[in-house]
Amino acid sequence: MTILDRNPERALLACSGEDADLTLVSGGQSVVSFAFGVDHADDIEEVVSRLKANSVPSTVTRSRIAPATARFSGSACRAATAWSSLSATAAGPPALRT
Amino acid sequence: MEFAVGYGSRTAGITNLKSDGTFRPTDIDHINLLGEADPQEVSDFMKMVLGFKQSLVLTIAGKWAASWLRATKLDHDIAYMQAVRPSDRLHHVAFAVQDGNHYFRLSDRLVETGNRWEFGPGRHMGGKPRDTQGFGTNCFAYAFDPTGNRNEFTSDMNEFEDDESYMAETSPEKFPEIMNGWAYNMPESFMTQES
Repeated sequence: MTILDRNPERALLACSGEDADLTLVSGGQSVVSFAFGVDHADDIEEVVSRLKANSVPSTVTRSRIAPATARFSGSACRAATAWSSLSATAAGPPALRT
Repeated sequence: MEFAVGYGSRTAGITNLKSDGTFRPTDIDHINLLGEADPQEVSDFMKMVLGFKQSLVLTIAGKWAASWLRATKLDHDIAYMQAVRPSDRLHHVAFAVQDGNHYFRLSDRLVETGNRWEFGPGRHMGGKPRDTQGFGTNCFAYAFDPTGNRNEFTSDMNEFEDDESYMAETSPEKFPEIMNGWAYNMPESFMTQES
């Protein structure tokens, strides 16, 4: 993999291209978080709405750098601005409302 | 769990499979999580709240033991099973591999750097016996990285129409056959070492 950027806290790595696929952070084993890619910012709002309807806490953030610790299935965006991202993070165990 | 938009030139749901003759993986493919929660409960959440589709379910004594789900047509984007040790959260992160020759190059690179595969290359046989086109039949090879996390290198993942899924009853004695259809060589670590 290619190291895109590295500092004492984290390293951004890419399988191909110039977008990070994996972020390595200090502190040992396992996974901190992972990300699903969506096509458009509206999809983030839809996800947040569905999480809220099921009482799952979430936060929405904007970042100048790729925030993902692990992304998969070619996650990304069609109408993207390089190195700018919008993401929603769900926290806590799933609380289903059927 | 994060949902992200705005990653340069990439398109959600499209996996890059062009290795250009190199040994490096072409993309992130999927993640296999572990936890204390019931796999059926986690799967219900992923389907009902987030819109994922069920692919393969393996049950033991009628209870869900492992679940594979997809957000695309590909066999699975996420898998979940109960952890052997309650604190473990990760079985593996999977990288995409283009084809068989790509495995040759990766294998040689491991040797050159003093590493070895933990398991594989091989082909999973998670679905119907002797079915190489069904659910859970992608090719694999696993290697640990220096942190102790397991990494899968996967290829040949089948695509399925929207509502297809497959559920099968199994038992621990069948794991070696399920995990590799090509050879009975599953190491014990594959079922016991997590992170």
